[in-house]
Amino acid sequence: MSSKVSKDTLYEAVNEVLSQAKIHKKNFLQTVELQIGLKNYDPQKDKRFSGTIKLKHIPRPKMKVCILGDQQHCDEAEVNKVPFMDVEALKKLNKNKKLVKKLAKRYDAFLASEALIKQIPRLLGPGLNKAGKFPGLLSHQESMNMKIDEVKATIKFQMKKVLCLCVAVGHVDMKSDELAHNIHLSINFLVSLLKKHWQNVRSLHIKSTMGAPQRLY
Amino acid sequence: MTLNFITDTDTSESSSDGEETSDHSSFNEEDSLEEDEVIDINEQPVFDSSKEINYKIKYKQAFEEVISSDDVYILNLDAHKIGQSLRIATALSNFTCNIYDIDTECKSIRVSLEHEKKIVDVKFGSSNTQLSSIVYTGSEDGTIKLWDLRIKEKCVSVFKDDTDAELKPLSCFDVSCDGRFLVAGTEVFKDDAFLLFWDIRTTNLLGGYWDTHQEDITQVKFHPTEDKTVISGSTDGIINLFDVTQTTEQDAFQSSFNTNSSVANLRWFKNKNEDSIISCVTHTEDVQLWHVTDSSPYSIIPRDAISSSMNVKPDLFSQIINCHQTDENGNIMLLVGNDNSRGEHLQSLDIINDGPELSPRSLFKNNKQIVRCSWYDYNHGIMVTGGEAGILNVWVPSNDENNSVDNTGKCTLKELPKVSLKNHSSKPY
Repeated sequence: MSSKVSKDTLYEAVNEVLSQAKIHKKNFLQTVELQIGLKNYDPQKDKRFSGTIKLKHIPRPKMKVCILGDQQHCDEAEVNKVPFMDVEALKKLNKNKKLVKKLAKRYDAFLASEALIKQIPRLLGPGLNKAGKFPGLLSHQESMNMKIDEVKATIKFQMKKVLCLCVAVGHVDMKSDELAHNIHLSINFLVSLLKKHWQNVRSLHIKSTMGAPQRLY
Repeated sequence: MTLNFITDTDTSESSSDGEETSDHSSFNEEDSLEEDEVIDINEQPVFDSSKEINYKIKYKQAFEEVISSDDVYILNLDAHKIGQSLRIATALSNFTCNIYDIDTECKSIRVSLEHEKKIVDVKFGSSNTQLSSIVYTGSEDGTIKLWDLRIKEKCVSVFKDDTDAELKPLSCFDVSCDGRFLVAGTEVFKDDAFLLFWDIRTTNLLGGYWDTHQEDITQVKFHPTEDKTVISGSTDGIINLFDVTQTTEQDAFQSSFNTNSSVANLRWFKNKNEDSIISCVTHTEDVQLWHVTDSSPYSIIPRDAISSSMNVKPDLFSQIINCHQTDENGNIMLLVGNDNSRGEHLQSLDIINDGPELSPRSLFKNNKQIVRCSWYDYNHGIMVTGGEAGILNVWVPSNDENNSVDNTGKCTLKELPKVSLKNHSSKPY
């Protein structure tokens, strides 16, 4: 499947977004999002357009991930200066809905050790599920930092009833190569999920949080 | 309505369904295709002729009927084999559900059951007494209707949750294995996605859960033998397992499985050790297999592994239609198509040694549409498929896949192999 966005067009748009952000500096890190408009797509009949993509370069470096760990993972988290909680700390929440909700709000995502992940329904009730933050598994075979980076690099996309979709693919402090790579990967992946591929794509734009949108397609 | 039996399995673009008629009230949707009729990859031949593939079990088309040509999709189906005949229920995108009886004389009896909005699923009754005469249809209109086909296709009961002013849009449902309870999942409704339970005999709403999913619930399935166990899946990527004998949601909520994706399809399987296994197809076209006791999938079959196991050009991607059990040992196959615009390529792949290894199982020749739903009976090897051209197909195993079905003028359902599939598949071709 060939891409309908040329390398030149992509870099032109990426550089425009990045230089705009440099001129109009904001006091927060602006996100760059990819906006996709669809056509010939009927949400009533066609398959849902939803899922996750793992990007190469972390789009949201400021994402906060908390480890719900066994002893070994908690020790490792302490060394790595990663926020963590052990079983005892979770027990203290006592399935209290408000406390679990507060915990869920404090972090963007959770990773849990194998020994803990099975106990989470009993320890915390459904609170993390309700917040859409049920932890991913952190095994002892994988490196904690790499797993955290993987969580940070994974973005979720979901199309609801309207025929457009936005995904955060990067931020304005990225190098243009990094941003272009993430955008390229996202476009190809998303288009491959559409039944008629490029024939379902009405438009593609990229835009920083405060900047003007740049058209790619 | 004409019945179209395939007379020649070799002419791929057979026009045998040219006489299709439709008496459905179709809602004509604007298909603004004219602006981009430029088709790139989609007009190329699909097959990769460089690959020589030996399919384990050969299939032929035993039945084909165009249910509707007016851009109506068959979105879901269920089937039941009763003696020599096959009863099929199809949920169409025009809010109706049709029932077909395909028997040895090839008669199809058509019954139309209606809803006010999209029908999200259709199922035959699950207990032995109800097997083929009871049909459940669930809809985005917020109701599940129970139809009794013996008494003039009458809607016997309606299940709904009227505790709010509006009915909640249902997105999936299931019937417990003893036929006593119904469960339905909803889309997010006023910030909550609900699982709702009904007693089938009294039609009373028994209660609901609404604290375990963040987003639309896409699948809910009772365990095939344990009535108390229910799983639900959602676009939030989480599969939850409940023990519904507990009174509160907190106590009922037993475990969660994080797919890190978006759940499109869930099914239960039993392996030869009687362990319960969950198959999960995601919206990103991957398959995950989970033991209910584990905290990570024991097998992940990514889309590129599926695509490369198919006998198609390497730049075409796979589309997973369903997972089916192939024998009593709990072996699983995937029914897959590809994203060629007409979607004619339809085949099954066996999952080998718990995956991700796959091996070609069967090719379904002369498929004419993008298939969206399927039903499979492993005792007889019958496959039923429905899809986006509104075509209903029945496929049966056949030693001679080019054998013309119509020579005898009879439906081939009774030509089902008398030998067991095991013997059948071990025959050298």
